[in-house]
Amino acid sequence: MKKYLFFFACLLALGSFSVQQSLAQTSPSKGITGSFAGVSFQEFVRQAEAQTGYRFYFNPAQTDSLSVTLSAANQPLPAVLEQLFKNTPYRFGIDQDQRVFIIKGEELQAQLPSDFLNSGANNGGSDEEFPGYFSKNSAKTASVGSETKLYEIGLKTNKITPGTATLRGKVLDAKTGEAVIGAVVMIESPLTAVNTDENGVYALALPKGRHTLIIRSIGRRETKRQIMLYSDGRLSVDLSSHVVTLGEVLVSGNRARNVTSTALGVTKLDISTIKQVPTAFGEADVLKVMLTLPGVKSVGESSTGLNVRGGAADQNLILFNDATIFNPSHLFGFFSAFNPDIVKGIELYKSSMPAKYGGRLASVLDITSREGNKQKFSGAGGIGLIASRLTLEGPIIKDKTSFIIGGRTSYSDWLLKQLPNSNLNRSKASFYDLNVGLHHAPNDNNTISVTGYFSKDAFKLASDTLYEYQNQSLALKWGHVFQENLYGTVTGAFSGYNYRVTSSNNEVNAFKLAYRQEQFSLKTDFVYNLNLAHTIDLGASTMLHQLNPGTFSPLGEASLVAPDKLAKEQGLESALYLSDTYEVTPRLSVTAGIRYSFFTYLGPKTVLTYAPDVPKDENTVAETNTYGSADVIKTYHGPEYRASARFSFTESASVKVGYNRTRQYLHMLTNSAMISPTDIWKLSDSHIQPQLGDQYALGFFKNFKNNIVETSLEVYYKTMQHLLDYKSGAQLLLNHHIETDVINSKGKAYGVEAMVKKTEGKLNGWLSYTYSKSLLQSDGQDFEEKVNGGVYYPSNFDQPHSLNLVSNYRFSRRISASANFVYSSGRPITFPLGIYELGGGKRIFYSDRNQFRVPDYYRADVALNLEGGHKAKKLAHSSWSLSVYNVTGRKNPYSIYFKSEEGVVKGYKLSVFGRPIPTVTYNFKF
Amino acid sequence: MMRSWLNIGWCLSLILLTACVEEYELPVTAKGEGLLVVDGSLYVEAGTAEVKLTRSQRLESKGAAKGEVGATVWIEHGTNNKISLVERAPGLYKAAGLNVVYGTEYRLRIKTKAGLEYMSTQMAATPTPPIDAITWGVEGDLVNIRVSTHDPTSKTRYYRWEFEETFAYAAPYVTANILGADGKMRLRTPDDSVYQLCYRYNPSSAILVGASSKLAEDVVNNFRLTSINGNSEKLALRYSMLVRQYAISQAEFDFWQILRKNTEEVGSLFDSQPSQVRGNITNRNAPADPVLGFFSVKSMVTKRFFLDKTQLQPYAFKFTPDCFFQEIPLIDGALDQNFINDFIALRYVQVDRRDPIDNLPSEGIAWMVRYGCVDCRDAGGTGKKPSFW
Repeated sequence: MKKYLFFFACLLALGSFSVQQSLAQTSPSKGITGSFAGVSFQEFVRQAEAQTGYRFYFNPAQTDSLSVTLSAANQPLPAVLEQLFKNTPYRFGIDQDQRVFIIKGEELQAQLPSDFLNSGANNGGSDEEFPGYFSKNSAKTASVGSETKLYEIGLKTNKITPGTATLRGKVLDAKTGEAVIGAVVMIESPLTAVNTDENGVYALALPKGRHTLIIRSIGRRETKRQIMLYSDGRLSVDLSSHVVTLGEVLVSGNRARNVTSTALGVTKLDISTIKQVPTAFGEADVLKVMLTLPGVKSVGESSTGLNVRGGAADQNLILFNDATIFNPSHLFGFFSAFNPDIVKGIELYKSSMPAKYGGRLASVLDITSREGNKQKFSGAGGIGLIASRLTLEGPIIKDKTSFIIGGRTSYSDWLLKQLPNSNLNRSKASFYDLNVGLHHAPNDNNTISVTGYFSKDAFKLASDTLYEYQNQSLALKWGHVFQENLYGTVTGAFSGYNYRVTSSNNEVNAFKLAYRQEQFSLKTDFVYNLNLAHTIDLGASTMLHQLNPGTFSPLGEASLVAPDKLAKEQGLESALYLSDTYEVTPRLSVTAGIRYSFFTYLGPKTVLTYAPDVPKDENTVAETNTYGSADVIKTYHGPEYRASARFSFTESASVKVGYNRTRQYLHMLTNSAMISPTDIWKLSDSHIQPQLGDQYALGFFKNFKNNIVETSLEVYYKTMQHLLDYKSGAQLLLNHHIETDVINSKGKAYGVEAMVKKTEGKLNGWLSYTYSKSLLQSDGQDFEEKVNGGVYYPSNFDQPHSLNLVSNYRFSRRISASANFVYSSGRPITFPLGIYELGGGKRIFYSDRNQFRVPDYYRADVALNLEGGHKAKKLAHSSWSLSVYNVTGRKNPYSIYFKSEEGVVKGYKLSVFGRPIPTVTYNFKF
Repeated sequence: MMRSWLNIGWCLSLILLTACVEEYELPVTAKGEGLLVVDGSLYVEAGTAEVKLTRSQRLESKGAAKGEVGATVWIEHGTNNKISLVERAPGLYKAAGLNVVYGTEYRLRIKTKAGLEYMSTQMAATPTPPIDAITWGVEGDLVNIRVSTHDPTSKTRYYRWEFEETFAYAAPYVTANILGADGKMRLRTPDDSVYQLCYRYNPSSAILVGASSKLAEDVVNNFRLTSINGNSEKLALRYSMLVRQYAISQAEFDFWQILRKNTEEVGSLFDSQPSQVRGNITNRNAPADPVLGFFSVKSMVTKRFFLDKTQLQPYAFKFTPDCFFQEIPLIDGALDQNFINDFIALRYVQVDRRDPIDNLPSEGIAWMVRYGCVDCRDAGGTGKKPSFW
């Protein structure tokens, strides 16, 4: 631990050193020395001109209020000026003749001060030809020409009229032509920023006049456009990704977005960030990276069930291209279900869930896949120790239609067969998955995409029971631009999940247990930029759920197993939503939304009604009603409020508040803390009410160093109603009346999340700390319905303290190193405490539920990424990733369990990754 | 099922040489020993009361629980009616010759030597219907013994069973050498009886509760009491079982049911949540403190069942006694005396060619064999034939 911190400190030191150096390199040799304490700007200029060869040109009327406080020791003038004018409206330019022009930002666009032009030598006369300092800075980038060119937007007028105009356009990937989602398009003064939407489209209202437009996106080179905005118009921008241009690589979040948006608890990660984080088997893992974010936890080392802000694993809506994924893990959670070469980015909403999403209480994890390269055929892949992957993509019609297809498969089955142990080589553990995507953009106003996903897992222990599960999804999406400010999509999606457990060892008892669930959904979403101040989101959705909760049947003719089948369930979940983001003033922005959701539990079904006021069980059945196909059995509906507001103190600091309500009609029945392949989902019905969650959140956001360092502090309080808890020894599989085994319980969760994130630079990464509590209360009338006597008790995933450090340091363009550190309090556990004799046998005395905790979890990982040679015209770009997971070899408990051996109960601790795991992965791209 | 899921995860990791299992010791704050355990019964038909008071032990304890001595134990009913129990053995409190009535509510009271007072809720009994049948059947290698009963009045609904099994078994050999009471080997004298046929007795330890509440009629049909491997010694000669059936309340049924699930499914991450189960006894001085156990008023019926080896003949089960002849090595032509002594300490006895054993190995001079193969009492049974045999 100490060593690790030392290493991190070194990384930090190196990082800051290199920043200094790069600045120094861009300036002429003559420096400025002196200590200025509140001197007037004119006095500063006098001294600066004396010490250096520069000549200053400025309007004294503009600078008379400016005082200078700084000290410099032979520092280059540009650096000193940069420091001086930072966060002020003043800008400066330096030309080749060492002339320094000082201007006040806002004034420049409308009219140039007359004496400015007079005092400046007549070299061109118009401000767009500032070739000096700015262009030198941008000369590093690939697209010099376009960055220095002045784009004239709108109908050119001789004189700029006051007022604002709207600039619209599309941000595209320079290499693939794919739309870049979530890119930030901004000007710095006055600070105005927007994100591109899902089609890469942005609309920005700006004062007419001259601006420098800055376009940033994660993993892509930042670019600028000099524009002269006369009236409404369009400008599309190509962003080059770092794979093509092997210059400086920017790995950055959406700068300033954290401060300027109204949303709280939203994290957006690009796949390039995800790929830097070391994992156990060398493959980038979307879900594992989620776990390094504040407020996101998991109960076990190799579990992919996420617990977001004290919510259960089933309270997360995991969307992969708009289709729900029910089991997001492969191979006991060692791999996530998402192929890193297909994934474009992920967005996690922990708090401000947009009104267009619903159906789950805790969070939405929206994973989008790439569209495929519209310019040329390319591919990527990786070879790992357990699994390999390959992705191909390319144009079908150049610039219009592209495809992407990717697959992964494990060879752990083969590994198992090689083992000398007969129990192990009769075992089976394998997975594969396949992603297919087609994207077609016939014109600027329409896009159509089809995406499909299929995965299969199978595992078996020593020829006994075979477990198989599959995820399937298919989504068809059409996006259409109706007019400049109205954009809409229609999405139809299918999601399926099924599992099968077969046991054929004993032919008499051979059985097959099958489970299947399907979702068909249709939704339409519109974004309407009503005017500069209002952005309206509205839409509707409907989803049909169909579940076959369990079919138990004999396997083989000799089997004596009695068949059993649970009745099919179906329900229709629909919603309407409307949301408005209203910029009241530049400082205050409010998003207010409402989602009204309806759920109808539909027949055919036989429904039991129980006597009132007594615990539900087989003895208290009052009547039995039979409903026909599509008969309405029970309807639930209610509003879900989504509101948040942002108040900016400065351009880089804001405070936000949020409230949101969510309703969940689909529940996972699980007795264990994590997602396991035999979990069953259950719709709300006459007895099981929808889960209801309310979350209040407050956050402070402050960015430093020109938005390179983002900090945030968020506080939340959540209440949850109608959660499902289980009576002791509840039977979940093949239970014809699960309502008799569940307890209606409630929960609350609260916490504080602090995060510091450095998005750019040689050293980047984040450090987060979370304090949180997640509590449940089951206080039914009956003894069986009380857990721990009916008081609040910690949920399975109540892990109060957690600390995460994710860091990446780029030594050179070819070598980078990553390091992770994860600490978390141990999860709660119920311990057997003692034994006693009763009824002729020894019995175990258990503690209260979740009274104790497993030992704390901590882990450090390191990785080294080596990029291959960087000739631009090379057949394939390759990279090696060497990583060591759990460097310290700490035996973190995966599970603590107790076994009775020879009459003595003994406790055991199982550590899945109980020692350092070195992994080598070879990745390629062509 | 879930356990195996865990196992395969474990195995897979083994391949990667990363997983490890180590013993886990409970944190010191996890204290579970020293809690009062009450196993109390008031038998209606027999007119007796028996309350066993013990203390809970640490998880790793192997020995029997110590009795709670010196407590004052009584049963209250009606207004000021009190039945006092007398400590007959350490922690075992009894009373007899009582007039216990169906439907009357009884309450158990305890005052420990330390002065702490405990009290049960009020309990009453309803008459238990008779056992209809005890049947047996063969499934694979297993012989299942099942009980059936019914209550025509449909009042019972919840049942609990206990049983005692008794079986006859044999020691196959008679030898010249025997082990004396002092554990030393000596030659048999004419005064030493031959114990080749014994009877062993086992009480049931499993929790056996059943409910007919799911059924339209109050019928329990073929509830499995136990499964015995057909090739086991228990069934080699003759097997008998005394089944005791109790009608219990739903509260008592729930208590045993949770206890059963807790005990039989010891927790791993994938198993169902175990939970603290509270009986019907509370500590009056500290009501929040757990008190383990249950006090019940029991209406009991019994039935005895026999299963003879002749009945099992069609199934060709075979019991093979563990009577391996361990050859005694020779040191310079003489039997290794240390070897013999070591085995005697493990309760083996020396046999040689003088003994009337026809399946001695063809090679060798002398052997050691488990003493249980010579004296059936050594396996824990008695040579005295039970009265019901």
